[in-house]
Amino acid sequence: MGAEHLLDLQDLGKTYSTGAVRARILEGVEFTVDRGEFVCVVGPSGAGKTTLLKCIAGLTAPTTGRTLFEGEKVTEPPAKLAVIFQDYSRSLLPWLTVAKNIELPLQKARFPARERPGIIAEALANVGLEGKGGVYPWEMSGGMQQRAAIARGLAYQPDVLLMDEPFAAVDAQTRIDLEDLVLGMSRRLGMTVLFVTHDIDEAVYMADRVVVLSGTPAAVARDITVDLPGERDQVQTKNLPRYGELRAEVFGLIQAAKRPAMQRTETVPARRMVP
Amino acid sequence: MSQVVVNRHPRGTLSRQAELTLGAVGLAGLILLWQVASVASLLSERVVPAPTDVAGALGRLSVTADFWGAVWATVSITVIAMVVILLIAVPTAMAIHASRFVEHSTWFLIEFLKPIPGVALIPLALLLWGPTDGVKLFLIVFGSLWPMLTQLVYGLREIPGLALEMARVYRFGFWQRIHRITIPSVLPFTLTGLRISVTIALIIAIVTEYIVGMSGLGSLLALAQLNGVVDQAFALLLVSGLLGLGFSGSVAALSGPLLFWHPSQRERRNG
Repeated sequence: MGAEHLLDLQDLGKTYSTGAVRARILEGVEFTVDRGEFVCVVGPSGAGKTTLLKCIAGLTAPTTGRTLFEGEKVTEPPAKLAVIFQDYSRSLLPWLTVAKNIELPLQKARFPARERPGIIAEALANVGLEGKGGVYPWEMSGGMQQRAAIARGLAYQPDVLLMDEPFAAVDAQTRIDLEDLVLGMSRRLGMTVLFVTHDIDEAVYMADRVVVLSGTPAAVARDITVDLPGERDQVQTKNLPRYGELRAEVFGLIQAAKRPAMQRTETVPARRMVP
Repeated sequence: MSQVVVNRHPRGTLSRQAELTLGAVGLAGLILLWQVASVASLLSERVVPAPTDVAGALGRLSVTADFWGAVWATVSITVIAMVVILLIAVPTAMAIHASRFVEHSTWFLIEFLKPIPGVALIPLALLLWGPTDGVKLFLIVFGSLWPMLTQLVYGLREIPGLALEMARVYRFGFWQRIHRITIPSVLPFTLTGLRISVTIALIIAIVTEYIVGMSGLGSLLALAQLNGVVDQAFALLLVSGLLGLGFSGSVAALSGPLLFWHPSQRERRNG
């Protein structure tokens, strides 16, 4: 196959059924991610972004369609894929030190024991947490905890890093710092990142491409190539006229997507149950 | 980590040391009041002996082999019962948690058995099976199993879903998941269950001994009452209380080192 995409989403659909209520979350989602790309997925809140990410990661089986990762259909989380969750306080284990948290996913086969200290130290350095390996997660600020979670993902040496609204729970200043940290890191290491967010500015600022999801059920409304200079800067990039245009385009699509999204679930006329 | 230790207590909570001091003050005050009431003959010494008499009786008891034999009998059966309870509760809780079928088919039975006081079964069990150590063990286990089992089921339910998703993404093996996620998550609940269960176990042990006269603190107590040796009976009551305190205290002492990461212990640390 050779020239395949790293990630290839084909007609991905997901419907949750509980009793008589069927909620169609995703329908016919299709896009690709190539090696080295930084792709942001934006959509209105509750548009099924997390569901989409879970389908891609192999945590949830899609109802229709499939995800190909390096040419293979995803059924379980692949070994060369890592996820950074929004809620770092639950994804990091409080009873283990930061170094132990990072070491835990490093299985024997891929990471011999003697190489691990080096891998952990390097991952910590990449997120600016040098020497913090011996600290417990709850002894650090929220931003530092999320950086530790990112270090865990890096040490795992994945081919793609999926990030699920990773900065939604930190304050605005920390958020800006973390955006630049992840951006710099992905450029430096040539990482492929699929970044899910509801924040339009964050998406346009960070991405090579922005995939905008429409309302309910979510499908790809538009796949926009961000033709801004590669080196991003919180002040200069955001002052470019092109940045404003792209931002307006995404904003318009999301506003349009929100309108018909009022009716989220459809109720199938149910047979009355005899109590 | 330790450079910022703020001595900040929410309103109404006290530091560990202040708590202990106040507890000691309360206890000393009660004993003093009791002694004064006895000396002033407000309390008849045939009903309530003075603290000094109780202390004397305790001193006399503590040099007899009978007394230590009784303490050992009561303590050992309680400890054995706790081991049996863990051996029953852990697999049962796991089965209830793992399968909807098991959960639904057992909840009625458990809710039915739970409120039956273990003590109420003593006459029946003795009548049916006679006064053997096995029956004693059965009574203790039956009476004190439920808090442990309930806490374990709660604990398994409370394992954060995100931690399990994280484990799937990073492809943890089965044992890695049990060792690194399940056991630490359930540990706080286990210790709570243990603390409640061990207290109930001690009560049932002593009451069984009391009623049947099987060797243990309970039968010594019954003997002292029968012979009207009131100060000795009080001394034995005191020992029973201290044993209970000792058991729950040792479980509490485990929480410090085992749950250092838990929010409740983190506050303690800073306090």
